[in-house]
Amino acid sequence: MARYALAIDCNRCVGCMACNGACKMVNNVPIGSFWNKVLRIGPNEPGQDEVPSHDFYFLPVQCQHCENPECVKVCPTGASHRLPDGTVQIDKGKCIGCQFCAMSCPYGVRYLNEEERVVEKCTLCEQQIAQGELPQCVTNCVGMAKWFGDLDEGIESFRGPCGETMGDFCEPFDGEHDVHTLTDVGNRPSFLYILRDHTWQGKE
Amino acid sequence: MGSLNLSRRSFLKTAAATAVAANLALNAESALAETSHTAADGAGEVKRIRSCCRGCGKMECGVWVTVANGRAVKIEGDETAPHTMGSCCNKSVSSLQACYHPDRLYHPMKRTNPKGEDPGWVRISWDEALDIIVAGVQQVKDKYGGQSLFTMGGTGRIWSMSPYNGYDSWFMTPNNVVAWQVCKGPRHFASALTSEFNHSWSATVERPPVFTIWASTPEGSNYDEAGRSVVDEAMQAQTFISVDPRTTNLGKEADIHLALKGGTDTPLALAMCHVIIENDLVDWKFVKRWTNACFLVVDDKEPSGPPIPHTYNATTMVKTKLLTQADLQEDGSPWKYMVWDKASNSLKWFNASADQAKANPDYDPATDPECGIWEGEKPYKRYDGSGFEEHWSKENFPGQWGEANVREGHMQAWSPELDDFESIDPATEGAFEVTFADGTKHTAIPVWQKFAERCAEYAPEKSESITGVPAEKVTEAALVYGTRVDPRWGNGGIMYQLAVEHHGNAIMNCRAIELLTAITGNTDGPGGQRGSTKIDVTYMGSFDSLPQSPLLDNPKFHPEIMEKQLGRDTHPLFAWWTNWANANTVWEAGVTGEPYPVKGCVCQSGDFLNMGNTTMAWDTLAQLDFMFDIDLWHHPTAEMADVLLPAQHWLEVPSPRQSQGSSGALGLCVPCVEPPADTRYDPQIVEDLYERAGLPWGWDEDNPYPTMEEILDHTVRKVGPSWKELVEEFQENGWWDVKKLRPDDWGTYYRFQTGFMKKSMAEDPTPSNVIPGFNTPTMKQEIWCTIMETYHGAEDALPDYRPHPDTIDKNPELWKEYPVHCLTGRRIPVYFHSEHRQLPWCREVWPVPRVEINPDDAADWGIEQGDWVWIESPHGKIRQTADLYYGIPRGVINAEHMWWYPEMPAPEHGWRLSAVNQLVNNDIDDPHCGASVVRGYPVKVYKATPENSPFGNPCPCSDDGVEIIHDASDPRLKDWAPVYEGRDQ
Ligand code: SF4
Ligand code: SF4
Ligand code: SF4
Repeated sequence: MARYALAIDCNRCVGCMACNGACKMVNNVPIGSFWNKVLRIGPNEPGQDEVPSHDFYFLPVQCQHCENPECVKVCPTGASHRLPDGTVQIDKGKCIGCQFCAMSCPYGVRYLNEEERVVEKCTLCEQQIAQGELPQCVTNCVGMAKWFGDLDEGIESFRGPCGETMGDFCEPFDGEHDVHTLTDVGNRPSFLYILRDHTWQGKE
Repeated sequence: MGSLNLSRRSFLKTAAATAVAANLALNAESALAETSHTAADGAGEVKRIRSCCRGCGKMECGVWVTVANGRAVKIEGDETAPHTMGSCCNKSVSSLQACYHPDRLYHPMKRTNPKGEDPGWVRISWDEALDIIVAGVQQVKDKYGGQSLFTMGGTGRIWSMSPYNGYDSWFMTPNNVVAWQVCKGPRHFASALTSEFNHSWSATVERPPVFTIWASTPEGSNYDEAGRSVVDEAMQAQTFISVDPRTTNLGKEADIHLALKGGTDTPLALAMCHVIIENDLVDWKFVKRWTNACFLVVDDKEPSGPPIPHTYNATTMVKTKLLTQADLQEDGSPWKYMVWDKASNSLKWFNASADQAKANPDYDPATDPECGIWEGEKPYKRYDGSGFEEHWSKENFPGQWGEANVREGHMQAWSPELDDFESIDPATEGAFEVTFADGTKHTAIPVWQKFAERCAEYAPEKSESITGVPAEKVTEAALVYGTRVDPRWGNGGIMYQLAVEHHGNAIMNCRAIELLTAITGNTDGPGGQRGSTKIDVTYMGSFDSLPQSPLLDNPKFHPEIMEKQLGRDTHPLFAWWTNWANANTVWEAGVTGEPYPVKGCVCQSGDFLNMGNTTMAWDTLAQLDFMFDIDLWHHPTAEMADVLLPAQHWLEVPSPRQSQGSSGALGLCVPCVEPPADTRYDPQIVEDLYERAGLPWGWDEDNPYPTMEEILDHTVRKVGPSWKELVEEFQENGWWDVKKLRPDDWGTYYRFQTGFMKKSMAEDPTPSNVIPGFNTPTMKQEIWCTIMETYHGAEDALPDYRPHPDTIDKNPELWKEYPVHCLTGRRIPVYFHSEHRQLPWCREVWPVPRVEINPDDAADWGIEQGDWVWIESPHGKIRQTADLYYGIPRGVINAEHMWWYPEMPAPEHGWRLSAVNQLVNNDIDDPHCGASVVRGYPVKVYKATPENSPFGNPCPCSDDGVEIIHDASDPRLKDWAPVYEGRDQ
């Protein structure tokens, strides 16, 4: 039992998109489809004091491996399922490509693989984490914004690419004000986003 | 799908594979070359090879390449590489798609159709290709002379630098058009004037407490430092200062953002110097002894200098208004620069006689007891010639180990105490009456006083209206930068990069910023302005350090050839610099035939899109009699060639890779996969060309055409017994720390005091070349720049603000019609200049060029997010898509550079649609180094509509109306997926 997830230090994300290629490299994601994306959020207001705005951030988005995932609930065949390690996976043998899940996901992170007629999404690199390695977008994250770990062990224990832990390596943050999830519509997204000194634009 | 990636689908089947791979580092032997220098072979095996990325042209990122069945399938950062911390960007992993790209050139080709049409390439043999090239070059030479040939070089492949040397004895042309002229070159030009060639680089890798990024986005471009290290430094620095007109991706985290108007870097830097001076934050120990601050300027002196020239690439008879002993007495030395000693109330000298050493074979600094000393002070510590083994500096200069905040794997450098004056006390201000040998009386004023006055002219309150930065902000930033966190050393250097070079005042900007780092004591200090990592290993195919034959001639030895260098008449300093022709002038000559025709060209990783006016550059290529291109791709430049030669990719080639900047690492590019078909390695191609042209190549007269293995062994001879053994060591232990390899050089700070600063990279240390000071005429870091003064007069001896002719102040009329300030050229994280537009993993996340527009401006102009907009100048117009961004000020836009569309038909591949330098005014450039004005010019911006766009389509289209790829779902992207078959044909 575990609750594997990523914690993302948004102050460190520089929108370089290394995570895009990293994912594609190991997961055979079709050209034109994405398991992860990086969005610029803001700035929504002009800057002040003759300085252009700083109030924006980059938001890496992928499957949030929700604790109460809508996609699993709507799947008619049981292809989409949640594993004891906390990750949400798709059994492609069972997937009939109906795409109910893709429509139900609040973050739009699923898509139909046209060639194979099955739905795909981020697996949290299950083939790598099963061997104790990190998800590839964590390993290759240029800003060291992405950290992998088990929520049951606490966010400080999340691991980075060179063996660091988030607790030791990242700038301190306020657990109450600086830690966010993507908007929760009851699906209870697992991923945590840390953002200091900038306005978080999502609803909690 | 036949993917060989360790994908989830094949996860169960290959579950053991990664475990095997993980062991490979311990099992280096198996990763090594069976045949020559190739690491990858053997079917069915999975190997993890340690190498160095070249997905961009700017950094030496340590990477692990996983090779399965002889195919590269995975690229990750080498987490043991201390300088990059395992950084590995999208360009790096996308190299997997470049290496196996279906459009890669596999064979030599020649054109069958006239220029301007689809070239109709047909495959030819290497023999035929080499013959055509040698004959084509000769024809141009015979008909028009060597100067009618020019070379085009860029930095895409570090082993492709022959154009920088102008193909020397073969072409014998002074005309090399190199991207260096607008990127990094001006910084090197300026630092060579002021202190040392290359000293623009700062040691961010040492994590200085104040981190200043000036005009760049290294977090995405990896320029000079890997993105991961840059983010790491920004996060851990006490203060992160961003100097940029716009908010950069990392700059949103800045503690202080100085949002200057583009091109006003000099006033801003001088304003900061003013604050440093006013608040007495100057490092006087350094400034008085190691700059020419205390030297005396005599305004009414007829400029004069020593009878033996200063030697840089060429010789310069220095002419200065600085007071020398020769002015004062008949037998006085022209190398003795005078200062006013406050202790004795008299003039004393500093003897810069070592400056003549390069030009005067009779002079040996080692035997001159007065060399490099101040009158009345003790002589400098003479080097004993102990070589690289001992840490001579540490034995002879009291000090302490540095305490840089380095990451694991880096060692500290020795930090010698800076010497104090013993008896004299040179004045930094005042006015002193001096009597010349002819009896005339003159007033002499210390350089520092003039500099301080210049800075005061740009005091924060005064320059606010020029820079647009509020005075309090400038003051705050200067105080933070100048107030030492640790009293023992400065707060670090400044990572200033290319935008300062693009506003027609490149050299002034670079000098002003360098002086800001100097007066605060950051020259060659911890985390300071340390310059290029000094290790005597050269890049393959680079600059002047090639293993070239001593029999080779070089145009630089022939003043009558160099005189013809295009742009020299309008840029006097080219006579000193020599390293490039002026791109704008070459395009001008191409179009007009004046002052003489340019009719032949080689391109080797160069490009016509990068500087000057692109339309004129294209027209120049179109009228050439003969051109050949060494390349990986068909891109617009290549499509203007007569012959194409296929180059190899970084995953296929061997090369030493030392940090070009201050990162202090040495690693290797190790071949991971077999090169395909008829491709050849750039240095091999150049050697083959020389052989076919009947010119010697190798360093050994008896072996004029060495094998690649011999070349590699020769190149690394100072650091290892052989290339092969170095590869083994590298696989096992990873990157070398150059501080450890060269303790006296890279491993010691303040080398201007120990004497290792002046010594060139390639020389072994001897008592004759280990001499304190800098390679300037005064042997000091020059606040008063004597070379500049020699060529441009005393008005340019100190930095000053010089807006280019198309700025709003100089040409307000122009701005009435073109009211928007156009910035360009910010680095796109998934591209390297014009590269990677055909790699699916890059293009799908960044399909089209975006121009940043302030949303309030956009609202006024009727432009919405994602709209195609026209950007128009008097020189051309292009389309890019609008990105509404409050990170850019009103009235300013930020367009992208060097766009072309590989999916568009040959020969143009759509460059006319969006390539930004079509907007450039080819008539203006930096008067000192010629860097063309590729940013900061006026344009107008309006929405592209069906009415004002060809084919009624705002989206750019080919001549027959086919749209460019503008969306990740475009099926044409899939045609660019890797092709593994056919590589052996
Ligand atoms: S993010 Fe979407 S796809 Fe992923 S578990 Fe949640 S609902 Fe399902
Ligand atoms: S965790 Fe793995 S599968 Fe998910 S986005 Fe990152 S790289 Fe892709
Ligand atoms: S690789 Fe890291 S820093 Fe770069 S965009 Fe992705 S999450 Fe952000």
